[in-house]
Amino acid sequence: MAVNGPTILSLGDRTTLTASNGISENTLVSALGRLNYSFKGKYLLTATVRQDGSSRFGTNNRSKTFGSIAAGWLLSEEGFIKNVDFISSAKIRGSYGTTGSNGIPDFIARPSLNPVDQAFGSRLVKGVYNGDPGNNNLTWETSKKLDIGFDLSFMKNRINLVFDYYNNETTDLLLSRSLPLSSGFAGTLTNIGSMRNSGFEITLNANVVQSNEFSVTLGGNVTKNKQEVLSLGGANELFNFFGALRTVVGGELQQIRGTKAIGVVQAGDVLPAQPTAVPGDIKFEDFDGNGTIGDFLSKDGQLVGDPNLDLIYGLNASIRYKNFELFTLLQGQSGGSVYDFYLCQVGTDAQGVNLSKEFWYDGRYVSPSQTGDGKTPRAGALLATGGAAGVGFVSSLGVQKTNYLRVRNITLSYNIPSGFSEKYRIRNARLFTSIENLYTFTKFIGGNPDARRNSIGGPGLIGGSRLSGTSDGRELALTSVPSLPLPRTWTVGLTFSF
Amino acid sequence: MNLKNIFKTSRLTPRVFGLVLMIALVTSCSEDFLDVVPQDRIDKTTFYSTADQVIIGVNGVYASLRSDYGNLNLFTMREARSDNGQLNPNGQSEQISLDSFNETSGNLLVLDGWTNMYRTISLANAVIQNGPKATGDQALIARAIAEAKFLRGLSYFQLVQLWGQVPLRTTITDVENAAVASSTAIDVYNQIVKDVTEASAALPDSYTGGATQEVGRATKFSALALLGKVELQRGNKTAAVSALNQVIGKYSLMANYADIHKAGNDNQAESIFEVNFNPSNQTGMGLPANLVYQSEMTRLGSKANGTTTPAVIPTNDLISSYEVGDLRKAATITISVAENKPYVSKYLDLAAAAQGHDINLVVIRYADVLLSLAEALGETPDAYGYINQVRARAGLGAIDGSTPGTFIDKVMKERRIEFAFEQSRWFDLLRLPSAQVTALMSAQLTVQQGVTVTVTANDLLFPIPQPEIDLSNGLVKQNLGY
Repeated sequence: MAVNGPTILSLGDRTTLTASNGISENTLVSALGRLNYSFKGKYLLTATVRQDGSSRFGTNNRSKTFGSIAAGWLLSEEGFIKNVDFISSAKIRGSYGTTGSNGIPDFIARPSLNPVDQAFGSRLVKGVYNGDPGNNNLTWETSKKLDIGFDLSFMKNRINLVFDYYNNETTDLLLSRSLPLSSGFAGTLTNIGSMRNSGFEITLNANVVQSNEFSVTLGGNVTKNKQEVLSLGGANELFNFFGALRTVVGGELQQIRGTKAIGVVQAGDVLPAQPTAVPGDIKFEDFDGNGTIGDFLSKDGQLVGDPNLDLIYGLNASIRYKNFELFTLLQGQSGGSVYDFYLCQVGTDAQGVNLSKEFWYDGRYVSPSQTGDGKTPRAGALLATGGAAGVGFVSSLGVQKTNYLRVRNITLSYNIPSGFSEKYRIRNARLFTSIENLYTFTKFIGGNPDARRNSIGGPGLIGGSRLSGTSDGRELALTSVPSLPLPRTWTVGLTFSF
Repeated sequence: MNLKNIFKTSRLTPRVFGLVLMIALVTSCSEDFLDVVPQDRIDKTTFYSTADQVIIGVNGVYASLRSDYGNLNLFTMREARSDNGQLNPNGQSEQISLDSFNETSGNLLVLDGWTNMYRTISLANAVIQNGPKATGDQALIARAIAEAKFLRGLSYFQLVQLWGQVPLRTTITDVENAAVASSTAIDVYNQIVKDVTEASAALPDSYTGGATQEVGRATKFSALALLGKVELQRGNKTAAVSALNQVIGKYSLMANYADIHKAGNDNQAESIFEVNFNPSNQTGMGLPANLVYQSEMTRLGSKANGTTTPAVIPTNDLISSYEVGDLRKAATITISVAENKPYVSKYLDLAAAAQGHDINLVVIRYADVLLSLAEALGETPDAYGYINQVRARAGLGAIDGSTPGTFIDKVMKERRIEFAFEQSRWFDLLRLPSAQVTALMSAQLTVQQGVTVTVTANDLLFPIPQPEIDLSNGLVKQNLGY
């Protein structure tokens, strides 16, 4: 008997390989109106209104109307500035409007079932198990965006500065809300609460030196973001991933909850809350002061990290001398952290194999005379049964900052002189070598501080690629598989154009 | 929409554009367009509407039992907690705490067990609630609903024994209002008895083996045997006798104890209900990968995975309880050649490969009916008769009232040996006076760990997982002592 439902099943040969597949499909219907108004080329006004409908949402609420208004003033066209040679162009901008996000997986609003195999003796049959619980009321996440900024160019456009202040208030957040596991579901995607992201963006580019033989161009950009959850639809806290991730009013999205490791037990330490601890064990903070250490879900659990970035920045420089050009690009981020489930899980491996040398071995406590870095416990400490059984499982020990500065690209190139190339009817010839991801300055242990466990869904909000959590545990602040390091690529090339 | 881009556009063409377009969505048209039906999953809103779909629904409930009985965490909670099994002392602390009675309410392994059992219940609820509205063969639908009630009763029986007061969910979850309060253990037992009694009235005596009639589905006697065990567990011995008596004579003991869990011996003459595993559709049984030494797998010529350190090993206390000549010992426990240490060898399919073992986990078998009936009857010649049937198969002589020890001690010992590592021992212990259980477990753990361990009456129930309490708006209560 076939399952009446999915029209495709795995194409793989089950004896030799496992294949999986799926069909993702969504539709979007939009109507758009726009009004542009310009007066004397100096005063600019734009108003838009649009209605969007998305198949991803529940049958009750698929369509929503959004609008915006933007105004600009080209100061540099005014007489009092036009005559200032120093300023090449100047503009002040302001905008306010609403936009919607449908950055969720397809079909998640529809209750679904998935096929499962069952055997009765040697007879094989099909069954079903729960898929997404569905939510007919699911609708657009809406952001009210205020943006004020200016564009300035000086010294015949040799220096360009763009500045923006923004304040985005997002309502009907598309967030995964945990359900009691006795419901048969881990969670459901809902529109719940509101959040503010505010901050500024600055981009500056300058041609520091400009001549025929020699030029230097420098550029940089910075985005600073502050995130605050304003409300959670009456709830104080949202749970994700068994409560290891919490969203709290006044805090940021999906902060990590764990017990706080405050060092390593030293010989002679008296720890009333950890009576069975031996030197080298992890010392935990008795957060609720009740004289015992509970697990991360108890009152000893606290917020020990958050995944949302505060600062993203980039720097680029280009130096040209005659036919040689050197280009470098740096990028970085700071303010976020991640709980590395993988690192901590292998840390509890009974065999003590496959442990991260950098994380568990190098700084570990060995003996009273070799106390290590004061942070890394003795080998096997996570296995200790003592009074804090299981506490090591989610603790600040596994939280790592994802700050880094990366030399993203360095390129050295040489433009072959035209005298040489014309001889062979070549218009342009360029010889170059470049290195991608030359080096990353970071304290992060693991492949790539940039890597996220999840890669689906939502539009990244400025200052943190917020992704809507779903009921299957694709959470923001967790990694459960080790990330692959970024490859370092060295390229040597020769380009011609004829 | 990027406002900046619009703005730039307007600067490039600095004149009045005017109103370009206005919204004129034809709502009905766009609603059809927006109604995208998934092709890669089953739309639940329309499922369970035919007899075939209800059968597929109940098949899913059976499938869900694999992650209950075949789950190492629950195996640990039922076997290692008891005096039969002990955990690898170098294992994860969360796991060890299940054996040493110091697990916390945040223990994720306990949560895993809880989640798996309630998943089965939620799937059963969908069948029970949607089934009556389905079209097609109404007799088949009624049977599927009865099967789902049996499976729901079985899962609640596990839950109530492990956790006591648990949320009683008998309808499909409303995700907008998902929290359900704790029910007392008494209420949970009443629901189980109701479900299983209704199932026993509607289920057939046996199955013919064709499509939708597969042997291995719950029968009337599966339900009666379960009912008898439930009544015995909650102390209703008369009701237990009445239910179990109806099963007497309907099954027979396998001649050879080792054949009960022999690979491929599915749903055999002794089996009343079992959880089916089959490697040929990727549902092989995986417990041996955590119970058997890799060196033994290699020595025995198996391609299946073993482990360098088994998660649960037999206690010395269990090993020394076997009487001389008991044939069950060799079929349950083996001493590894390379490590010279005992391991659980009850479930070994030497032909197994990566897809797991072709071994079903028997949940209720005829020997259980005999010994449960003996226990419910109390010290009578009939009771000894049932016990002696089981002993004879094990190659042991008959016992009677003159054999040393109390009657209940003799029944318990027989059960312990007969059902070792069949996830029964912990629940059997719970029928003893709690002071007796705590004294037994304290003594055993003290020997095992070398320090004084005191097990209290509160430890006889597991903690309700903390997330369940935190997400219930105060409706779900924690057990005492956690």
